[in-house]
Amino acid sequence: MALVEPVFLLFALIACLLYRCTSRYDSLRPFVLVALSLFFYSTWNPWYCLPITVTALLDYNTSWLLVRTENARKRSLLLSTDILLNLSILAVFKYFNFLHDNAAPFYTFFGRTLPPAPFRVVFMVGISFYTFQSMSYVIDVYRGEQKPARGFMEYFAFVSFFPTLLAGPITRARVLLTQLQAPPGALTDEQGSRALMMIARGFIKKLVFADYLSVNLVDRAFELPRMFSSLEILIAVYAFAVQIYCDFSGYSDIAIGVAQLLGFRLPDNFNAPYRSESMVEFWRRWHISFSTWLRDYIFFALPSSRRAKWRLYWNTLVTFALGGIWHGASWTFLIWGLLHGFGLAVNHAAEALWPRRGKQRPKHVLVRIAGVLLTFHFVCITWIFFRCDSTQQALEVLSGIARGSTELINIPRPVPVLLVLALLAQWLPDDWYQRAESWFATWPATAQAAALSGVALLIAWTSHTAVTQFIYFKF
Amino acid sequence: MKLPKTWITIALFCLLAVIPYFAPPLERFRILEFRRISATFAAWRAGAFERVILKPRPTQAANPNPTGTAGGAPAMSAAANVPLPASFLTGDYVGKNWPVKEDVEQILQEPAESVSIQDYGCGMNHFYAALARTEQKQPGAITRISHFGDSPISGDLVSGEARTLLQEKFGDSGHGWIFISKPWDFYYHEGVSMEGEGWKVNSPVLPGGGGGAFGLGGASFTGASSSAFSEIHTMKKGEGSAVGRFEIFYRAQPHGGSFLAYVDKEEARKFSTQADAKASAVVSISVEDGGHKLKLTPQGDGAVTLYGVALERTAPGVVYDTLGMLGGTVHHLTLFHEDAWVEDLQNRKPDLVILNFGTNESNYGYLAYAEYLHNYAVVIGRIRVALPGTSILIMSPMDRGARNDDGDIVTLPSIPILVAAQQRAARTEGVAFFNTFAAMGGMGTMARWYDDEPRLVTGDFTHPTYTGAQQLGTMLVDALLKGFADYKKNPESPSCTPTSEPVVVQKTEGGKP
Repeated sequence: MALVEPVFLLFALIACLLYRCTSRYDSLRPFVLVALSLFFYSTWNPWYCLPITVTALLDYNTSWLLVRTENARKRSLLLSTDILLNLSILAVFKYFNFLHDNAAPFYTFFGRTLPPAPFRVVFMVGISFYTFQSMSYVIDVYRGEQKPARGFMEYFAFVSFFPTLLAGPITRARVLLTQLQAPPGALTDEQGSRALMMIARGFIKKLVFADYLSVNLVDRAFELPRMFSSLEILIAVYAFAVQIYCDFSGYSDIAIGVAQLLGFRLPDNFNAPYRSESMVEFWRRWHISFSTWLRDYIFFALPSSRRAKWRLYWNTLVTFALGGIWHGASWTFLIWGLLHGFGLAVNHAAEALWPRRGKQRPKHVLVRIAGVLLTFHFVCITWIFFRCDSTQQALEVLSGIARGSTELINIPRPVPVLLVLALLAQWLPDDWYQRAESWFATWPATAQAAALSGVALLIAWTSHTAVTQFIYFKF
Repeated sequence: MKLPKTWITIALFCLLAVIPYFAPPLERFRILEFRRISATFAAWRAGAFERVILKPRPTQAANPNPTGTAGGAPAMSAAANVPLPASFLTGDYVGKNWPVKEDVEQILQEPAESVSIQDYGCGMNHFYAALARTEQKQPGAITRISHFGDSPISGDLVSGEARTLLQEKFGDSGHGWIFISKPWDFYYHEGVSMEGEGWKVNSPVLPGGGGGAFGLGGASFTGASSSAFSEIHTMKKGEGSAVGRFEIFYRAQPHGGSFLAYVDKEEARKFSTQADAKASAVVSISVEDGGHKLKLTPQGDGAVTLYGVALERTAPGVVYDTLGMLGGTVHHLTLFHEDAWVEDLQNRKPDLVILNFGTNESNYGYLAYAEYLHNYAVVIGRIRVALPGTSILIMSPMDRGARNDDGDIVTLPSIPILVAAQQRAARTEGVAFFNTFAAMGGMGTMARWYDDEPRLVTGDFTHPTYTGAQQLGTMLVDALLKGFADYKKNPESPSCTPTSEPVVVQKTEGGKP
């Protein structure tokens, strides 16, 4: 069940009503949520429910063993074993094919032929997200930053929470588990209106912007770059930057909106990332739940030293290389991660070399513009590797841009309009959207329903007939 | 207890969404397709586990020819693993009573490894004889192939690979025919860079096109002032980096203006398009064999209409023209002005004409079968008038897929019917036929190609990627070379397939049988 299908809205509505009706019973609440989540997940494939149950059982029991064990070495061993098992499950379902396919050179080195794989594993949607979410809970319990869940179903409800199950936001236990332990409060007009607006915004971003750009320009230009002029390929790269933002943030908006209707408040996952003036700022605005996860559980866990500055840069590179591999078993994701790590390291080094005096003083406007343009274009270059299936394809796209041809025959007219609208929206004042939400909340129910129906019709009439899958469902 | 406003809003929204389902005039306001609800639970059906753990794929050792070429294609028959849906032959796409059912069933039985060129009436002999002269490197022995088709050809996807392979084997006699500028998006010619603007483009596939003289390839470029220009140049290195002669195809007509041709930095050569009567014409500019740039622009003394430029060399070899029309069908070829197209074909003199359509016809709601066969008869007739004896090959469309309600990629029902119809046209007209669809693996190929690594088809399940195009080009060339090898064994009496009687079909009201 894809989130942008009207069927999902029907399911979400029934789920909200069912959960809210049973939420006053503490023992029933997690059962209902788990049942709803597994029902939702099983529509992708009933077998997907097995690994998530194993992961939840493993991490729930480990967390209690950690609490009951006082010996530091045993605790450390428990944590290491748990992480190893979690990563093993992830490795089987996400990296098996890649590891097998890339083992050929090692076999050749030893004079042997790579035996054929006994099977090929199909990627299981959501596995990277819930594995990270569940692992972080165990690490938090180990660090003493999180109390263990009171019961397995409560924990399972946290791991399998259906609005965030497929593609995040990766929600910490301290945020979601705490809210699961108490019945949701009554839905205020303000909260309800905000939820509805977020869901509508998510649908518009995905179906009007992301899908149009994908089908009408990005897919063709990346798959057949020789047919496009350099300028057209460059526009396609910009279009992909907008597409992936609208696609992923659109999903996050729908997830956050549905969670809000259920009675859960989730943190924002995006904050106008393309207005960033540096790579450091970009990662504070892009996929926030992922970047903070990397920071808290990988970057801080790596050995560091105040004296050896190089360690900061090295750790940044390692963290983002792992972040790249998290997206998928492919060299292109590794290069994407390394490029981001490199960009951040350069950013840190520049700040160390030329520290700003008087940090309160705003930067000159030209410096800010240059920072935005530089950051945006650097991110766009990295998106080329992210979008392409192979390094060869990425190099072909890059060499296509380098050709220098300037024809503009392959760009459908709505594309520039959508690009300008999407990029300009990044620069709207922060409080505009909040004020719009507050204003929408004051509308009578009939007006709200009419407005939402208008949006639904607009989407139905303007969106592409074949809905494409969310990009982040692949990760 | 007061109901929160949000729930009232949602209830009203649901009410508004439901109304169009009870009021047929409001049908266009429906936002939910109920069939999607049942499709949502398709994953619960049997075989879910097999969708998580896949059986191993055949390795290269098990499948000695992974490219799926016709000479040794993957062990997959056209009927492989996907049953023919009942809806194929119920008359939705083509009438029930048409003699197509047996043809389709025959197509679906055809194993990919046995796919070769069906030479109805020995029509390929002319091409094979020309190729033999080229192979012997006889002076001036250039074998020309003109490949007409739709978008995969417009992008030089299959033809580009076929050109490379044939020129590698028989010699490079130039890029062949190309438009003077991009007439539509998705036009490309491998190894040639082109830029142009200021032309008024006419084509049967463009809005307002209709019928007319569209040159050899289906687009004319008219300009009256020097603000219109075209620049065509060979790449600096690699395939097709050299040219020895530019042949410029244009429309000669009363009151026609002149155009200027600049080769590299040389002085302009002026050519007048004025003539007593309208006709297709060609002028040639010989250059030293090597990399060159040609610039064309109207002089400003009247309107000029240009069609394209052929890039050729004098050495024996193969020239492969890419003549794809975006959105093109065989019907569009019939819209070309008959005399003008015949003259263009005579000016170009191809030894083999390939007709490779069907992608766009597969979108039709209904195929007028008799009219479809008639279109092929008209086009083949015109080619024969222009070039008696020239070989003609109908190349079937590739497989084309779409996602069904369960989200699976399946073959469009129209594809095997079109393939069968084209084969019947070839048999009836006595021209050769190549079943691309079967050579690829037949039913369900696009699903396999989309899942392959690297991906062989783009996300529209219609156009091949570069890797997919390489495989298709290889399939075609392998089939041509297999036919050529058979011809060489016995040039006097090659093995051919007999032709069949024309299909006699009775029409009923509304065109449907």
